[in-house]
Order: sequence, then C-alpha cells, then structure tokens
Amino acid sequence: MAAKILANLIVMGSGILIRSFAQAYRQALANASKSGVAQETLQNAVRKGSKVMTEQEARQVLGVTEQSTWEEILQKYDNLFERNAKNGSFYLQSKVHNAKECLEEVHRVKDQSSAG
Amino acid sequence: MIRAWEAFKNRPTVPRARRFYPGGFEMVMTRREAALILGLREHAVMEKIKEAHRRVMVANHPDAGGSHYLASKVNEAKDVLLRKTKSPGSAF
Repeated sequence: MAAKILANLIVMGSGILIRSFAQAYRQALANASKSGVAQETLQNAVRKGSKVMTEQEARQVLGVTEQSTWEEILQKYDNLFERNAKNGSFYLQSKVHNAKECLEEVHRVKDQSSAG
Repeated sequence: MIRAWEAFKNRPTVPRARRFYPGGFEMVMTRREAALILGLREHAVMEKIKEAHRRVMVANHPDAGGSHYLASKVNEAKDVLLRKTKSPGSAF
C-alpha cells in the first residue's frame, strides 16, 4: 500500500516538474523574441504614445554622452543626417533630427541657467 | 475659365517639404515601424528586406560614425520583418 502512495507521489511530482519546464521553455521563447533593444526602448519611453523624445534617447540616437560638447553633437548630427539622407530612410532621418532638437533645447536651457 | 486652368497648371512647383516623424522610437517595435526604418513596404520579400537592411546598416554603421542605438534598431527592424515572414522556430 505504501508503494501505491509512493507511486502516486512520484507521478504527481514528475507531472509538476514537466509542466514547470514546459512553461519555462515557453517563457524563454517569448523572451528570446524580444531583443535587448526592446529593454532599452522601454527605459526610454516616458508615456505611451508620447510625441516627445526623451533626452536619454536623444543622446543614444546621436551616440553622445552627457559630457559631449555641442560641437561634437552637431558634428554627429550632420554626419548621421547626411548618411541617412543618402542611404537610409526618412524615418531614421526624422529621429536623428528630433534627437538634435531635443538636445538643442537641453543645451539652451543649460546655457541660460549657467549664464543667469 | 480655361485661362485660370492654364495658370493653375503652369504655376511654379514649390518643393514640398516632408514633415519629420515626431517623437522617439516606439516601446515595442511594430511591423509598421520596422518597415519605416528600412524604407520598405510591410509585405516586402526577403531579398528586399536583406538588401535594404544592408544598405541602411552601411549608412548607420557604428564604426563609421553611426550610433550603436540606431544600428541595433535597424537590426531589430530586420528581425521583426523577417520574423513575420517565416514562423519562429527555436529560441536560439
């Protein structure tokens, strides 16, 4: 009789294990379909459907850091804008342009606060 | 009447500036955004996707002054478009 209980336990236990593995695999599949950039974009998005680019995303788009000078930013912008105009898409050009406008605004505010 | 029509036809064509797409990238890349990034139609064939991806990557290559963020977005766009054309197999 103990053998029957033991057998039941083993069957139930292995059933649970198999089900958990299956769910973990499904989760891994779902995770794999989301690339790493999706996580970055999640951090960038402030609110859903916002028509404004965040400063962090703008810096990422142009490939500049917080310490970059305005000349560097302009240089990167010109370079990226030209290359995308020639060989990229208009959408990417828009994003580059938006990034520059966003950083320009930030820079202007910083100038004002440091001058005043 | 006819003169007005002629004048309308012969008016100087002013270059129409396209309006930039506002905002940043979307939180989850949709097929539409992917097609916009690569400059393709949403139902483009695999050869066109690969060709567009190569072209846009060259324009945004990190080694040539592009940004890693944009390059990864271009790659993601290609993955999104290719994933929808053939069904996902394994997780690797």
